[in-house]
Amino acid sequence: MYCSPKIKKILPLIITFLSFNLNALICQNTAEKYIVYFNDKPTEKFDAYNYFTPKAIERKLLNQLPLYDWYDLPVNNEYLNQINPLSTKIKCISRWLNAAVIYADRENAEKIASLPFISSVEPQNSSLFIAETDEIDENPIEISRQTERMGIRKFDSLGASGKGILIAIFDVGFSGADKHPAFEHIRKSNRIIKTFDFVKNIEDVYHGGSHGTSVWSCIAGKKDSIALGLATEANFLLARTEIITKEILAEEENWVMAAEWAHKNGADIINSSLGYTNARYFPENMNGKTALISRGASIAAKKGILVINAAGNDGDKVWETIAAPADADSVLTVGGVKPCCDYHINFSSFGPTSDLRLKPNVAAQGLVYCAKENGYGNINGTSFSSPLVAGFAACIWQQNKSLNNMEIFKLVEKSSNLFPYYDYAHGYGIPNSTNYLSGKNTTPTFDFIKPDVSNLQFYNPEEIFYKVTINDSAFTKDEFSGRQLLYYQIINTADKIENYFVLNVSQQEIELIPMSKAITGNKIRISYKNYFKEFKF
Amino acid sequence: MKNCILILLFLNISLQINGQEILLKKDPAIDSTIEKKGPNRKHFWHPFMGFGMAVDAGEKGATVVQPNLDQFALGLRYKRRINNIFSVGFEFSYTNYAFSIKQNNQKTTPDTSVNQKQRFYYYDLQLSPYFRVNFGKRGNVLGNYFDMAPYYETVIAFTEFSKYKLTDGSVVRARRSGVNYFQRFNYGIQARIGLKKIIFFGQYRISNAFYGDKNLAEIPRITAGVQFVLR
Repeated sequence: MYCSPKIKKILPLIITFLSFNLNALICQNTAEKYIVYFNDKPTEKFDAYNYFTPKAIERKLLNQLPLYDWYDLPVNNEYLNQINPLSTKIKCISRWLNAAVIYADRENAEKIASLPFISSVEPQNSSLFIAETDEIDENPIEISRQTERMGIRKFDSLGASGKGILIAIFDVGFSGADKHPAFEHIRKSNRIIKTFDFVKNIEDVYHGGSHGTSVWSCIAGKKDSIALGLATEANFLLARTEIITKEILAEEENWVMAAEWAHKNGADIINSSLGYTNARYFPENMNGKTALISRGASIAAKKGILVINAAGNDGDKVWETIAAPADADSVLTVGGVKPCCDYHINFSSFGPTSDLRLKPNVAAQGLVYCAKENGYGNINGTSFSSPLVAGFAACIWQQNKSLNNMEIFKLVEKSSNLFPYYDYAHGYGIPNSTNYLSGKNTTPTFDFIKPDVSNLQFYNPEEIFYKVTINDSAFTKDEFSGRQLLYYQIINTADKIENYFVLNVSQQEIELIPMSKAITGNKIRISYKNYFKEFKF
Repeated sequence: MKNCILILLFLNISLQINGQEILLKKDPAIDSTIEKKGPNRKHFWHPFMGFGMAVDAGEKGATVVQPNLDQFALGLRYKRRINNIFSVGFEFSYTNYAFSIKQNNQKTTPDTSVNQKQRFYYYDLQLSPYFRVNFGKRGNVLGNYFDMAPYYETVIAFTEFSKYKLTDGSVVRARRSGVNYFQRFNYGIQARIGLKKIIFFGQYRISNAFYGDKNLAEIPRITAGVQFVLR
């Protein structure tokens, strides 16, 4: 076959390129990544005082948690020694998962799997979202709104600003945060306890992207003297677990490693504004049990850490649902609301989980004013809703140090504006210090009116509605939304939400559902201005 | 402008009269139905577009000008998932080829006359079943894969274009279709490496382009290029 000289020059390049890709695809068996789970671990000789920091010990004693449990015990060294020669590299070891992440060829992986002390060997080969969407800078929002909506003034009057609470932030990087004026008060008082980059295994985390910088500012940043988050007095652990340009499972492993590190250092709260979606999972996998990161987050919660995660930014995309680890049962998942009007912001991912558990749990502003690598600005995403709630939780915890993580979890839910009403867009709504401190004013705000057809000889059930009449005193615009938002949902006989609505009402009599669609046995739940009521059809 | 204001006024009044505006409505029961269609679901259709160039120059006597964008394809591909690793499918595509024959004294195809330029254009409808092997655990995405695909194509039009100078210096452009030397049916095999929505392909035409009794040198058989999943 004749080839022209030009082609002869190009051909090796093409062949090299194709073979490189083919090699990447087919020859992965030269060294693939696996998670090796062990059957057991040695249960004696564990010195908790030596392993944990004094802060971690203090937290455990305060929350009446055992000093250590099975999860904290180290992985059996003998097992590691035995798999070491069969693996190309041991990447990391997880005490919580009792597992090691290794690189090995397929043949050796099979040999490892056949060892008597191995529980299972799972091949690892994911999409990450950094829960941030396009930035909107052209319409500056009121700086203090994001914190005032959650009741920062009441917290201020009580001196609640997260003091003594240790918050770990897992993110893509904290570029610029080491010099940014937003964090000067934290640096001055040495409240950055530790930092670690789990991607590069170094201590410096002030690189890799400024997403973490913005997230951190929504917990504790300041612009001049105005707080951007609620926990300006908290202490911090900063961990880099993500690589912004790559979407690999290593990030999930890094997250679990970082959670173990945070636990060892006594973290009370973990805030992570990331999630994994369709590159590795299907929506039906969002059950809290499938994704490695969700399993890690559940263990972190069992260890007494309050894990707070962004719901995700796929609400207006095909994926639409929440992303791991926001699917884990004991993770406080935070959705986003519009700052203008207090209801679901279009990109915020919807619940429920695939096994129909409530997610998101609560919501906060999805468009915030925050610190950026250089300066300040507006930014969009549930990434920034999550740290606002982390700050809120830190303030509550500071006030109630004897409560455990799940009690704080419930208290945050209970302090939210819709509670006990919930839906899969807002959860229980936006937490607010007034609700937390004074409880909710549950004065009836509406009456539910069943249609009366007793005097009608003929009627069309399509045209006769179950209605709500808003009381005169409650027919005013909301303080924060500037609207009158009425929430309602239809519950079927299996006690599942059939559909849910948010209405902006501008008259006192509201038509909710026609008689034709009101199935006997179904229920309707209605919430308007803190008042919640359920009726059966 | 006046009309716009009136319409806006009307809409505003309508809203006021209606008194309730639905800001959000969701049906979780419907929303949580497991999809059957998607990149890594049971069924997946996607359009694609591809460009290719001849890798070999063709047989002596029909060597082509290289490098040159010789192939353009637009098609629709169906994928039926068997499991996370294996899939099968087929595709329909419209493909056009354009080969510029080098004009030198060794040229024998389609004749020995040396022109300024000479090109073969042909337009195909292609049908191709394929077998796919996917690599790596993944969610509802195409992922990384390798395809083997025999193909069969029907030439729906063929044009031989020639540009030459007459002795008086004038330039003549001639187009000939309905030639009797070009096969109407071709077949071959295509191999593809897909990295998500970008696919690198190589194809080998097994059948001859020209009827055997014409004794013409073969134009390039091997084409390589890139395709883009348009979804």
